[in-house]
Amino acid sequence: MTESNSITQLFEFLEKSDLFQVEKYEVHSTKFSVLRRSLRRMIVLLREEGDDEGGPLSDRLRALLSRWLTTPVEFDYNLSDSLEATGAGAGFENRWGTQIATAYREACGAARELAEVNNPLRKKLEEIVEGLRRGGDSFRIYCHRSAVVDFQSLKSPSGEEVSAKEIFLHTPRDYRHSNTFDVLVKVGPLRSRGWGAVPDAFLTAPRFNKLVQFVWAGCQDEPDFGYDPANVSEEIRGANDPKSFEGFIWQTTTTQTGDDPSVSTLTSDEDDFRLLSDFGHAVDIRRCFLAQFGQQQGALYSPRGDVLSYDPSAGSEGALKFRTVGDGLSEGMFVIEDLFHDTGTCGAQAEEGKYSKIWKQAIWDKMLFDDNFENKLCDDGISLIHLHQSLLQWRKPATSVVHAPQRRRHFQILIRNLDIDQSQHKSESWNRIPWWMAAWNEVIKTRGEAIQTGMHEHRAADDQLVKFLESRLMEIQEKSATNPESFYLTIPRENELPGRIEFHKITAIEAGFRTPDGNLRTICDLEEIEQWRE
Amino acid sequence: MKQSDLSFAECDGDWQSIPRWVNFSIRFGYHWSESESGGRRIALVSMPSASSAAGLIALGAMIRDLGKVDADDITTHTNSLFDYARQYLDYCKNCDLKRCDPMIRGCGFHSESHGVFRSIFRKNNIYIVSEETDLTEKKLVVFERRNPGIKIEFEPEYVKNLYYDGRPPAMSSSSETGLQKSVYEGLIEEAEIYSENLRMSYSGLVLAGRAKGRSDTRTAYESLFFCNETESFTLAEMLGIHGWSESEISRTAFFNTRTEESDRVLDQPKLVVADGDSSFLKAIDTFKKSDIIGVIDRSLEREKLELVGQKFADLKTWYRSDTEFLGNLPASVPGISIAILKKQ
Repeated sequence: MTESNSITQLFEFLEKSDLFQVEKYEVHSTKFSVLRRSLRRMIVLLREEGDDEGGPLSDRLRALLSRWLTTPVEFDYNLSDSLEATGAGAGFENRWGTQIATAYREACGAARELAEVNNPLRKKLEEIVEGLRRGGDSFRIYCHRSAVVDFQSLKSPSGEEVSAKEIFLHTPRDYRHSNTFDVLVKVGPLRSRGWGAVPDAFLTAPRFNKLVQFVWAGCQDEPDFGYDPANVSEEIRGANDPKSFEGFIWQTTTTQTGDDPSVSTLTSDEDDFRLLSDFGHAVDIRRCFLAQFGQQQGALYSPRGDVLSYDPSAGSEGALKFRTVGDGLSEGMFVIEDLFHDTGTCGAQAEEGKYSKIWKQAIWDKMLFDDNFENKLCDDGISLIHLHQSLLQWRKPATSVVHAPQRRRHFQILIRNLDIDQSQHKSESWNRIPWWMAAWNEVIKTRGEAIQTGMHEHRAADDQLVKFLESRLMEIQEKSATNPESFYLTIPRENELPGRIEFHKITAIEAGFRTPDGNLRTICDLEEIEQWRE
Repeated sequence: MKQSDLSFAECDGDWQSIPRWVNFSIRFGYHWSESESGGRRIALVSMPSASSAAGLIALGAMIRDLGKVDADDITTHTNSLFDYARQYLDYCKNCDLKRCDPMIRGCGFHSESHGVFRSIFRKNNIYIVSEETDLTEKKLVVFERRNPGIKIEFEPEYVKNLYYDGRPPAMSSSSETGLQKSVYEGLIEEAEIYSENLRMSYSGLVLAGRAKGRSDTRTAYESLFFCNETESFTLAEMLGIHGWSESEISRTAFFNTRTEESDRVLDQPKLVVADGDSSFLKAIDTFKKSDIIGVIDRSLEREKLELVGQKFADLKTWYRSDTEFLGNLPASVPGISIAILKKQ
């Protein structure tokens, strides 16, 4: 990335440019419309199924559709392959029923037909990029990291490739640090959230004169895109009216390209982004921040989660602290990751419960003597793929928790099918709540205790770790000065918590991600993290 | 001196005449401080990029304060010294914690009082507060650390010459060790500077630094330069923040957004200029009676912008838009947007 302009240069640029332009290309493709429509239908129907498999599959299809709508993807057999790679495919009709299977067949058919034709969006994009090159315009492409390969494969009559790394911008931070330039190229609508999201600063703080935007028919910009908290306008304008942000005027010209929409038998295209954004994600996910380490890696953190970190610019007293990403943790600090060797702690042991002893024994009996037991559970509503393995797990004696179904409804079904003579095992609460509920309360109580114990143990380990780090502060200061990106310390075996402590320097912090809890605090490649961008 | 006699440079850039955005920012602060009008005001200034505009606004406000006869800490300084002595005698002196931790102790203080005073005229002498001090009668008795047998009772009028470690004195020992008038001349041509103020500290203006902390803020402000025919100064030096220049006194208090600590005891400052989104959000809640000017970079992610926008929108229940003030400013600069609320 070239060094960014000074703020004075940026103001001079803004002052000189009295009119900014959006050159918008709206692309129609009848076959691609069929594919979009079928995928949309599958996504909606799978979400309505609402079970453990349908939800995630729906999310994967949604990500695939979002990607196709925001990248110049080549129309070839990769479309069908990508569709199958989501997990859709063989046995689809048996598993999901006729409606979803019909949509899937339609999608596959459209994908196969598209493999025979060129992507009109790519064609137009190639023309534009070639024109920019010929005209000597400086330009940048704002896209998802994973989309770079699609841009790099654009064919150019001059044979030149879009290969220069400096051309691509992927994050609001990249944009903030870029120099001013002539033209910005973007595939997809202007949206502040979701796949293909871009910073509002495109319109409120432009670093370019012209935005060349490619959208598939139906896809609309977010109505409030170009948000500035100091300049909130409630005025509603027409799509092509000139818009004014902070005193500069934006003028939009729209050109339709691709198939003639008037000869299509399909109804007009819909805004996939708007429709699908209403669904949210099927998997339970939470809002989080990305802390980027170097150019390749990063980790997601919840806004209120304490992160042990080292601040090289702070004095010795405040250098090592728990900070939250939303408050205190910032670029230039090091995130501290502890990789302890196994210390042999076992956590809290749940007592063998009053109820769990009874129902776990009943599972043993049923699995031995009732050949039809698993089918009964399945018919009654426990639709787990690995039901047999789950039952083996549930019947195990309690360790730190009482092993049991995760869902209350599944637990109720399980108890119902165990045919326990509950009158033989009455309890004090028998008259007030059903037996299965008393048993369930026992399960969740042990889960809560396990979490509490885990938290206490973790806190004790944290305190020890901070003490250890404080004792090695000089060494940490020296290492951070000589290792700009990352370094580590070893905790010797004789310490109570032997292991290795890694320090990763934060190069950027970025909001706009959502992920399941299980993915938080795990360092991985940025490409992998990108899937969790809102 | 005229503004045209001054030059400006950014980072390693060339000297140039003062850019419009810089002039606008300084004047914004100057006029804000000029037009004190009773009700609390909150301004949000959005910039197209990360900038040091908050520092420039604080500079403008500081220049205006230099022209106000009563803008000094002399009156509050004596009380502050006695509070410090009281904390030492009643709490810290007998505290059994080896390392000061107000959170563990639950004493309600922010930091430890060592009971140590210095005089602006005899800086090498360290005075320790004596038990004989009469806090009710405002009689300050100290002994010298080197000669504990020698006790000194300070006359009330001399107390203004004392200061305690880490805090700026209320006044400088001489005009040479105060701020220099030439530094501020020409930035606002019509500004009048009351010479006595160049020797007096003032805590009515606060700069709430960037989220990363004091050194990050200072580094950013050290990359903006002004020069006249003979000298050049960084924005950091000009702000009169304690420890950022050679001056003994301080005309701008510093609030560290990261640690949530100020460089002195602050009692309802008149104006707080906040650098950045998180600094703005913290300043609104920390300084509940002060005017706040928040400067944000609107090229940040939507989530951060919405947090600021939401806070600003919430305030509208008790505040109304104030457009009058903007009429006093030079023509707006494309790229700077401003919203101002005034308490109803």
